[in-house]
Amino acid sequence: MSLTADRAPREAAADPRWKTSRLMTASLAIAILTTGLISLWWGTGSVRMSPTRVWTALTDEDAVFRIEAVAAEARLVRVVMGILVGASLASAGAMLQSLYRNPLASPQITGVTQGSVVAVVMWLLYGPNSESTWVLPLVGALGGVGTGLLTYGISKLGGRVDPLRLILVGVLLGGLLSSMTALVLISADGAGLDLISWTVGSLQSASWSRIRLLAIALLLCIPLILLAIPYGNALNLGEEIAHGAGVSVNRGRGIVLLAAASITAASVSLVGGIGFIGLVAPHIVRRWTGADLRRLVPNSALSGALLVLLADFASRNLRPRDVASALGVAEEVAPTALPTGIFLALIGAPFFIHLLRRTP
Amino acid sequence: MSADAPPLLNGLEASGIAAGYTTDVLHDVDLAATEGRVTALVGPNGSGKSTLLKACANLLERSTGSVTIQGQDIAELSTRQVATKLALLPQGPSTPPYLTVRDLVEQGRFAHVGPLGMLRRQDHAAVTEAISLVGLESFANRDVDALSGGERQRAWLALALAQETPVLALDEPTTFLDIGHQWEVLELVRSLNEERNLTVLMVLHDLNHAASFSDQLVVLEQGRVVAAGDPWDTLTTELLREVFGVEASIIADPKTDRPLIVPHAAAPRGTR
Amino acid sequence: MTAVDEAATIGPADGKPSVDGSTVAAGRATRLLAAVGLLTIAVAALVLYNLTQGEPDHSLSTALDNLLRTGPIAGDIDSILIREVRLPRVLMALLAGSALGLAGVLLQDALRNPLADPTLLGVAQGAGFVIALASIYPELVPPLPTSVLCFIGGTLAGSVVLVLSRRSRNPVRVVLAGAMVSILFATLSSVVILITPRTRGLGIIEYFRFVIGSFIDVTWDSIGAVLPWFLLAVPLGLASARIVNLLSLGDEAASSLGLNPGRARIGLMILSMALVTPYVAQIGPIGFVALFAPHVSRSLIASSDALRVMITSAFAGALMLLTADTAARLLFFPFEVPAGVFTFLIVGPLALVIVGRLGRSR
Repeated sequence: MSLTADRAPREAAADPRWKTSRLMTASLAIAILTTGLISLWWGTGSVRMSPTRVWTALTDEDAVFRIEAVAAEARLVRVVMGILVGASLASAGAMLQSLYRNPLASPQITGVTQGSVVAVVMWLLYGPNSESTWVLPLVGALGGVGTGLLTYGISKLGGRVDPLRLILVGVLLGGLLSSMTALVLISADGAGLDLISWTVGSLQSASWSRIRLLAIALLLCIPLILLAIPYGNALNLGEEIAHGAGVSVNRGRGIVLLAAASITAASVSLVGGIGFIGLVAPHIVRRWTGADLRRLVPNSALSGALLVLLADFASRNLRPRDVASALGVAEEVAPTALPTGIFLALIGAPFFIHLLRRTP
Repeated sequence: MSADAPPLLNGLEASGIAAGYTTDVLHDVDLAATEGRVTALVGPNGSGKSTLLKACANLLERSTGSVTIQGQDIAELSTRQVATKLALLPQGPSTPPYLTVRDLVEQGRFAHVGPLGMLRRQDHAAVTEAISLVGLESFANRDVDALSGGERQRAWLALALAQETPVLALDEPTTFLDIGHQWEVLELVRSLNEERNLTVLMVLHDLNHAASFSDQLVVLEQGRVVAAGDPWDTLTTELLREVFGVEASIIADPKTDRPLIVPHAAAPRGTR
Repeated sequence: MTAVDEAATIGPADGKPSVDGSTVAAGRATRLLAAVGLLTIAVAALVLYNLTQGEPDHSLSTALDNLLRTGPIAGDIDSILIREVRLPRVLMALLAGSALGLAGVLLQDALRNPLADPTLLGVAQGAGFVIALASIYPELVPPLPTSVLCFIGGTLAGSVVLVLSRRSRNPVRVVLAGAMVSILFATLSSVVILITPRTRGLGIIEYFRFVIGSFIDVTWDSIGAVLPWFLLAVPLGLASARIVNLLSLGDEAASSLGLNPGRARIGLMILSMALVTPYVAQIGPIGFVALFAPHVSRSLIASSDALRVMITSAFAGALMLLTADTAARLLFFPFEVPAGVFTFLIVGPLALVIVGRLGRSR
C-alpha cells in the first residue's frame, strides 16, 4: 500500500489500525486469488476441467482441446473483469459514504449508476456505431458523470451543497433515469429485451478489449481518487470541522463526487448497472480498517473485488433451470444463467435492511 | 470597545460585523480578542453569540464588517489560509464510527499538508504533540466514539490544536458534559492559553464559567454588544437584570477572588 | 442551543404584541375559502382548455354543449372526440390528482415525515412486480382485477419501507429505504422476465404495456375501474382527519390522548395505498404530486389542520396533474410525453425547495 509509505516508521509500527489494515489487505488478496482460481476450473453446466488442464488450455498456443481453451479463457476474462469492476465500485462507495456522512450511501444513491446505464442503453440501441467498444466508457462517463454533476448543480441551487440535498436529488434523478431506461428498452422491443440482463449488471460481455479499456480508465482516475481522499476524510467529520480545518466545503464535495462518479461510470458502462457493491464492501472492512479513507478505500476495493467474484461464481453455477428441474417445472424456466448483478442485489438488499435497522 | 484595550498584534479583531442566516442577527458588532488572553462571548439565548463566532471564523458570510487576524483581513485569505490562523471547534460535533483519535487529529493538518494529503514528519510531530497536550496519549489508537464525553471533547480539541494556529475559537465547549468534565475542559483551555500564549475566543453559556476562565467578557444582547471588558467591570446586577432577566448578587469567589454570580429570582417582567 | 435555533427564537422575543387569537382563526378560514375557490376556478378553466384544444381545436360552446348534454352521444366526430377521448382523460387526471394530493397529507402527517411520497416508497415498483408475475405466470396469482393487484404490490413495497424506517423521523432514512426497496422490486421484476421461456413471451409484452402506462389509453372503462376506489377511499381519508391531527402531535401525545398510534399508522398507510395504487395501473407512476401538493396547500392556507390541508391539497393535486397532462399532450404535439415525466420535471425541482427549507430549519 503506497498510501502508508509516508508515515514515519516508528508511528506506523505503533499504530495497530495500520497493522490490522495491512493484514486485511494481505488476506483479502489471498482470498481473491483463491476464489479466482477456484472459479477458473469449477463450472457446472459447461466444461469441467482439472487445474492442470486449465493451465495447459490457457498457455498452450496450439491447444488440441479447443473447447476447453475457449471455456478457460472466457472464465479468466470474467474473473479479471469482476476484480476490476468490484474494486472500482467499492472504492466509489467508500468515498461516497464519507461524503454523505451516511453509511447507507452508494453509487446508486447518487444517480450515477442509472445515468451511465441510460446513456449506454441509448447508445447501444440508437448509436451510430454500436460495434466499437472503446466509446462505451466515454458514453457511460458522459451519462454518469453528467448525472453526478447535475446532482451537484441542483443541490447547489440553494447555496450550500449539503448531504441531505445531495441524497434527495440523487435519488430523484436516479428514479427518473431508471424509468427512462425502462421506457427506452420497452420502445425498442426485441433488442431492448436482450439488454435487460445488462441493465442489472452482467459479466457475460467481458472481453480482453473491455478489460484493457476499464484498466486504462481506472488508471486515469487514480490521481483524482488520491486527491479526493483527504477531502473525503475531512468532510466525514462534518461541514464545520472540515471548513475549520481549511477545506473549501463545496469544492471538496465536488471533487469527491467527481472521483466516485468517474470510476462508477467507467465500470457501469462496460458491465451494466451492477449495484450494492459500493454499499456492502466498505462495511465489511470498516470495522477493521477504520473509517479513514487512506485505509478504507484500498481495502474496500479488494473486498468489492472478492464480492463480485463470489457473486459471479454463484451466477454461473446456480442456474434457475437447475433449480426448476429439481422442482419438476423445468419447461417453465428459460435455460439462461441469471446476470451477476441479480445475485449481488439478492445479497445486498438484506444487508441494506440490516444496516438500516442498526443505524440511528 | 473600551478605549484602554491594549494594541492588537496577534489577536483577532472584528469591526462593524453584520451577519445572519436569512436575516441579519448581528448588527454592527465590534470585537477584540487580545493576543494571549481568553475572551468569552456571553449573552442570553438568541443573542447571536454563536453566530458571531462563526462570522469571525469565516464559516458564515458577513453582510458587512471585517475580521482581521494578526492584522490580516480574513476575507482576502483562502479557507486553507484561514485554517492556519484560526482553529474552530464547533458545538457538539458528531463523531463518525470507527475513527481513532489519531485519525481524527490528523485531519487538523489538512491546511498544512501537500495536495494529496501526505503527512510529513512535522505533521506527525504536530499530531503527536496535540494528542499529548490534551492528555490522550494512551487513547491515541482508540476509537473516538468509544471514549467518554470528556475524553471525546478533548480529542476534538486536539484536532483544533493540531492546526497550530495563534487563535483558538470554541463554541460552547462544555455542552453535553457533566460538571467535572466541564471544568476539566475549561482548565485545559486555560492552561493551553497560559503555556502556549494562545489567543482564545469562546462562547460560553454559563456566566460563572465565563467569569472564572476568561480575562475579558463580551456581552451580547439581540445581536449587539452591550458590555465588554474585565469580568468584574462587566458583570453588574443591572446587567444581569436587564440582559439576562435575573435578580442576582455578585460576590467574590472566596478562593480565586473572581466574580461569582448567585441568582435569587427571575427579574420581574418590565425591568428586563 | 445552536446558532440556528438562536436565530429562530429572536422573532417572538422581540416582544411584539401577538395578534388576537380569534382574528387569526377568522383570517385562516378566509384564506381556506379563497385558496379552494381559486384552485377550483383554475381547475375548471384548465378542464375547458383541455376539452377544446388539440387536433382539431373546438370552440368553447361545442365543448360546453357536449359536456352538459345528457343522453346518447351524437354521431359526429366532435362529440366522440370530446366525450369519449378527452373527457375521460381529463376526469382521470382530476381523480388521480386529488387522490394523490389527499394521500400525500395522510402519509406525511402519519409518518411525521415531510418527504413521504408514494414514488419514494417504491409503490410503483412493488405494483410492477406483482403485475409482472400476474401477466407472465397467471396460474401463480389469483385472478384479480389489475387495480387490486397493484394495491397488493404497492402496499407490500410501501409496508417494507415503513417497517424499515419505522419510528424514524429522519427524512433521509425513509428516502434511502424507499430507493433500495424500489431497486429490489425492479430487480425481482427483471428476474421474472429473464427466467421466462420464449413460450410465455406474450406475458412480457402485457407487462411492458402496464409499465409504460399513460393517459393515452384512458377510456370510460378505466374510469370505471378506479371510481369505486375513489368513492370508497376519499371519504375515509377525510374522515380520518382527526386521527391524523392527533398523530402529527407525536406518538406519546397521541397515545396519552387515547389513540393507538401503531394501529392508526398501519390503517392510514393502507388507506393511502388505496388512494394511490389504482391509478398506477391506469396511467403509470406519477411522482411528486403527493409530495408537493400538501406542502403548497399548507403554506397557501397557513394552517396544518389535517382536514383543511386535505381539501386544499386534493384540489392542488388535481390542478398539478391536469397541468402536467395538458403539457404532455399539447407541448410536443403530435408526440406525447408520459405525464409522469412532466410531473417529475415540473414538480421535481419544486420538491427541492422543500428540501432546502428542511436544511435550514434543522
